[in-house]
Amino acid sequence: MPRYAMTIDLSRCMGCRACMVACKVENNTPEAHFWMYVFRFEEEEYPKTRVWFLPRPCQHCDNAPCVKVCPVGARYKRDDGLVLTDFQRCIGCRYCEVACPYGVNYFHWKHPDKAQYLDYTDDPEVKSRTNNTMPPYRNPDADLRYGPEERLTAGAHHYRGVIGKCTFCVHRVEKGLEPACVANCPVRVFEFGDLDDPNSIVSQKLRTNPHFRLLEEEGTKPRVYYLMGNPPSPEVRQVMPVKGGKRG
Amino acid sequence: MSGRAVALPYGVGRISLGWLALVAIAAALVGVGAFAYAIQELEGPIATGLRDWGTMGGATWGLYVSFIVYFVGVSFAGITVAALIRILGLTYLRPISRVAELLTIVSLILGALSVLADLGQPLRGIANLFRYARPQSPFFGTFTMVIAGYLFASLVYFYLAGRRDAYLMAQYPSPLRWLYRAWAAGYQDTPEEKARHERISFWLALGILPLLVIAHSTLGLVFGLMGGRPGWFSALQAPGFVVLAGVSGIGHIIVLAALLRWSLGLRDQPEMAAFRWLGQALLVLGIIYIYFTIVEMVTAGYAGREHEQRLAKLVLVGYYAPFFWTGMGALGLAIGLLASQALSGRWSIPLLVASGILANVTAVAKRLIIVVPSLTHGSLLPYGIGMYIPTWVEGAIIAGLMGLGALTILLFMKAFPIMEVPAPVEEVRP
Amino acid sequence: MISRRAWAALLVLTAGIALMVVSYLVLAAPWGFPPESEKFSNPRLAFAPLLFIIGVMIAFLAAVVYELWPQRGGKE
Repeated sequence: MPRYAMTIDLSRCMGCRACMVACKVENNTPEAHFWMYVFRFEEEEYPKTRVWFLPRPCQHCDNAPCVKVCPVGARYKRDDGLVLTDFQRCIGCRYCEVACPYGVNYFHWKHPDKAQYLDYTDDPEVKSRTNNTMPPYRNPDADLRYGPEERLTAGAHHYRGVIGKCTFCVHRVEKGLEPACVANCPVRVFEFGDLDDPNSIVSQKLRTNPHFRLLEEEGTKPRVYYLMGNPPSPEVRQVMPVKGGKRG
Repeated sequence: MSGRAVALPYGVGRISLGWLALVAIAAALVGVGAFAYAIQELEGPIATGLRDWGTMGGATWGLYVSFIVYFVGVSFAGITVAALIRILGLTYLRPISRVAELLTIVSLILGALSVLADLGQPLRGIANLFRYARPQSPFFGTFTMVIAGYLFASLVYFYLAGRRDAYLMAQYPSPLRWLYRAWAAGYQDTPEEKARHERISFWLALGILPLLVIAHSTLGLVFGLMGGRPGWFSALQAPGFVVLAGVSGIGHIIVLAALLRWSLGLRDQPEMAAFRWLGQALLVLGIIYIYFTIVEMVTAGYAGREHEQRLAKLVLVGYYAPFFWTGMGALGLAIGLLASQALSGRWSIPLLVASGILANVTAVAKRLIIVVPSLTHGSLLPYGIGMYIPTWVEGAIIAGLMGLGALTILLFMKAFPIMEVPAPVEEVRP
Repeated sequence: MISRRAWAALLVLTAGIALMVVSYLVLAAPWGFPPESEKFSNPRLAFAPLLFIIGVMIAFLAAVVYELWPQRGGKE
């Protein structure tokens, strides 16, 4: 059984947020949901100002607070390390969201009326722009069931009243592909691989680079390692946060 | 005495204009709440003011969760009163034991209903909790101990304690005689039966008492175990919930007892001694709660981690200060009123009712202060601060639930004596 | 001398507590290694939590059994 982990090289990230777009397209997430998010930080005062970037996927913790508190076992950790949500079991109590210190959970406050895929064929705007020729599209992999229990965990399922979050693109990982954010980064900030394999790229990177994990002091044991940088201090200011505010 | 129209005790079966007006108000509230819930079901939880914390800048839990805690807290009343009568032998509390028990049952049901209002998938919630509930989750205790165990134990107690009155009521001719006969289930009020009931009530009270502490503590642990949430992670959370539940529950029962005494035109029932005892209990619990709050604020503000200190500041002097000080001011005022009565030895029912209402203001304000600030301002990562303003839908659903509670108590009053019938009018052997 | 009525109540109480213990410790609680394995995200037996709740209810029903146990021959 592999032990999946992700490394994020902070010295390479330039804050283009291409990973966020890749994630939205791959997982068809509704408006204002960012399963992958990139903080843009500003530190110190002019003229010493420093701007830096910190991508924030789900940390897929080994001691995940969200898994511990889920009352029905809808949020669970697979043996290969992926922390997933069973969209058909979730009752929508949002306890996982409250327990998670990273803020990676997004609740479906309504049925999404705008999504990244064109699976909403009755949208008149899509119809008029494409002269009714664009076929509806839906990633077929996201409809499959994964894991020994065959639970419905892949993204692109956006039922009203259930929680959703980064799945490490389980439907791609199961096919041997990298998560969408990893594959789409123009400067290779992310690496994804097996910690148990000493020759995997994440094992090599972790051997040769200084690294930290986000909010390690909370005892969550995250599976996402940040290379070449420092955790954000409480003094950093977030600049250019996403607009997505109250729409849900 | 059969055949003659007899006035049933405590206004059972007699419909007055005031009662009708109250029922109309309560039913209207229920209607508004049902309408609001229909809107929430059609539009989805987007109809509430709740949003995700983090990039979306909202609060994930809000009014519903605060009122789950509040309703479950009010349920403290019945079981305490019952336990004190049986275990400590405070017999002058006996007349209010039924209304206290009823309050417990009603408020637990309201708590369960507000859980359903909060869930994104309420139907799945009912099915999956029974099917998959995991003991690792703090919700397991809330769900099994509070909503199932506590409620069921209260129902058993309520049923058994009502058998004697049901037997007495069955002596009078009335359209509900079948109900009284079924409830009495063969009870004849013989000395053996009385002794048996006393014995089992004692053991039942003894069995429910730990359940009381467990139930309110598990609700506190829902918050107290969240290590990543400043303002929640505290060992004082569970005992604090037990004490604040006592404050709101006893405050509530004082108001209800006074309302009964006034509306039924009873001069000396419940006795002043019962009110005095409730006032003293409220005084002691209120002082303990103030002490808990001070200890918690000092710990968080003096030695807490950075985010803990920020949150303490926010609550004490920042954005949430008006709510916090309203709550604490109300409790301070209630304690002042109670202490002055205790010191002078002269207890007055209007002042006791005022302190009961103030105690419940505290309970609501403090629950909101526990739930919301940590979600809008308590992020450990540098997300922006959030904001939460409840929508009318949330307010209407909560008001509807309160109306439902009032309606249940009002209807029950007319079907069954709300207070223990003092003594059999005469020995009746049918 | 324990009456028949008390025996019945005790029996119901014991049955309730036994059901609670068994359904909690054996059927619902995720003992096993490794404890975080996905196998333990489910109760051992579906509806074990319901059994636990029924156990709590049965335990408290003992009081009803004690009071409603039919009286025989007019004396206990």
